Amino acid sequence: MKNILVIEDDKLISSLVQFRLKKEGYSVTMVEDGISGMDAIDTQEADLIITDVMIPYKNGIEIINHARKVNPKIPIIVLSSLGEEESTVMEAFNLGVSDFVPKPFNPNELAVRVRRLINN
Amino acid sequence: MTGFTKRQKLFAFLFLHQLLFSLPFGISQAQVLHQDWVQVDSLLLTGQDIPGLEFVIVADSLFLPADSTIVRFHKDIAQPGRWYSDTLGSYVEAKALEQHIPNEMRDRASIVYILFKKESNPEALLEYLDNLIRNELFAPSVAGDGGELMLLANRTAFKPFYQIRLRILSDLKMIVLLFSLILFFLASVFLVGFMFFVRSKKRRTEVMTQRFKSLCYEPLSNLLFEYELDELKDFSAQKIWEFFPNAQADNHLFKDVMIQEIISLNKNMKGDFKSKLKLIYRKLNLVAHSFKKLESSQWDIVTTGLVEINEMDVLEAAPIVQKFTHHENFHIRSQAVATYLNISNDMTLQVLVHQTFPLSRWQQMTYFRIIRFLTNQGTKVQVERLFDSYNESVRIFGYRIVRYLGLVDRLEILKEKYPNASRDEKIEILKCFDVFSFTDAIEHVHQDIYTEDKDLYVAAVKVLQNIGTVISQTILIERIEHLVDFDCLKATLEALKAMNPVLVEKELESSLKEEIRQMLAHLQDPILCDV
Repeated sequence: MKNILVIEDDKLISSLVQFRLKKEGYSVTMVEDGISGMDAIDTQEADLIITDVMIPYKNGIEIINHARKVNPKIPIIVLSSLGEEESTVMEAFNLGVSDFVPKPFNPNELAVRVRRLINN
Repeated sequence: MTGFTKRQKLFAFLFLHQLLFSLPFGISQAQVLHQDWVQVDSLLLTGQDIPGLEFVIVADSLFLPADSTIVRFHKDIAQPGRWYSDTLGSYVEAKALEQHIPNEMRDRASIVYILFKKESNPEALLEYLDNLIRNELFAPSVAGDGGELMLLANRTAFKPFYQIRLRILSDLKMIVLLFSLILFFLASVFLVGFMFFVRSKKRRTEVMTQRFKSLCYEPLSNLLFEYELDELKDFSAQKIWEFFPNAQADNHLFKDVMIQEIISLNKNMKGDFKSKLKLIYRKLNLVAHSFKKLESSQWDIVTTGLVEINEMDVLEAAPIVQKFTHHENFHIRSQAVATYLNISNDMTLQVLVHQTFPLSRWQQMTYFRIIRFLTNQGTKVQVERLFDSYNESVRIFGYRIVRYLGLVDRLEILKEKYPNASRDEKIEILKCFDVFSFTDAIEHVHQDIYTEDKDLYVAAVKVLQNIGTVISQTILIERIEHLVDFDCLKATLEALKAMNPVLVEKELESSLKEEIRQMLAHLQDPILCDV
């Protein structure tokens, strides 16, 4: 079973994402802040990472950088609002994230993107 | 003073008298004693006990009279023929004994003063008495001046008429102080208790909120992902409640948490999920819960209710919301206007036109986002209605919307409004002319080149920099020699340089004003021109 790491401080959104991805047959690990996210990247062999840009303790960019060092080929989806952190999002793209899902988002659409990246 | 006996009143009076007059009284007595020995004699005869003073009668006689009163005389062994009496504590007693001495002996008898067991002469006695009186160790009683009463008052210990168990309570000031301290202590205890109560209540609410949030995640996820919108439409309220913990159906806090979670999801999701969330909100009759908040006397609760109605697009609430659009509370009024703009479908913006309070920048930003949303939906919002408002800030807001939304078809209206507009309105309209390079309004702009208002002048010059003609250049060249203000000069030179650099060189490099030549040199310098 493929393991997906979700780094999102909004519990409701992460719960919905977890619910939707579990329906797709994935195993989902949820963490709420940047430090726990980095620990999870080190300790768990995630097949895909979904991360917000604005999270407690660590910037989303730091998470992406860390993930790239641990596993340069791991697919990363940034789940964030374009309006809030435009410069950060652009920086995330420059770091080579696999996909960007702007909020508000459709969970079904996210599930499709996850499936596509995992299968590739 | 009611309730006190005459004696107590007298003592109180005497005590005060003693306090006020004791020092002058003592000094005057001492002076009298020095001058008048007779007065000392009379003082001794009052029979008062004078500390350290005793008397002995000494008589010179060869015989001891066989009288009973003489029994108290003793023969002096060292001096034959001299007799001396027992030591007597009272001068009166000594005088009485002296009277009993037979006549033949009396001439040879005298009273000797013994001060602290030593014989003293009258001068020493006078000095001693003087010291006693001066230091208030002894108060001589003098008939007729109240001295005896004062002595009595001094000697009698004060006893209050009413015996209060706690002496501390006999003092009124102490009672007031104690009362204040007790009141302060009680108030502190009450406030601390109240603070703990409020904090514990808040803490309990936070804990319950977290618990209810976690209870909402799974049911909401189930409803959103397991069922289609049409299926949800067929669900009854009872059926939907079955997804949630049944015991919480009547819990107000649970409903609040549910609404907040639904609104949060509504903001973060798109597609038919939004419709599903709104359907769940209505099916569970949470709309009634939001309506109830509008009846609250607390402004934050009313505002929350308005936000919920706005987010969930409760269109039928428009008449109720309209009642709050002129509320004196800023937050309620702002949210009510925003909500009404969103749900009322009133494209004439009457709710804004009739606003009596000035619009803050924050309000303008909020309303602008709604109007932009409505415009993007393809609705024709009648922004020009705002230009006719009695409220200047609303009119200015209208001009800003024209600029931000690019409503070039309203520029003709702005041109008509310009001559009669206020100074702030003119500046805002000029910005519109500038942004859209609206050359039709150049005549109006030329008129304001002669204004005394600095900001209006600078705004007009900036427009001319963009849309100015040869006539504009001539006007500015003519005007520049009369300008004094630095910002006006700078704006004018920049505008002229942008419009016609050749003309500027020709006309102004030989200007009589040193300041103009310096500024021109600065602007023409390729390195300094942008500094």
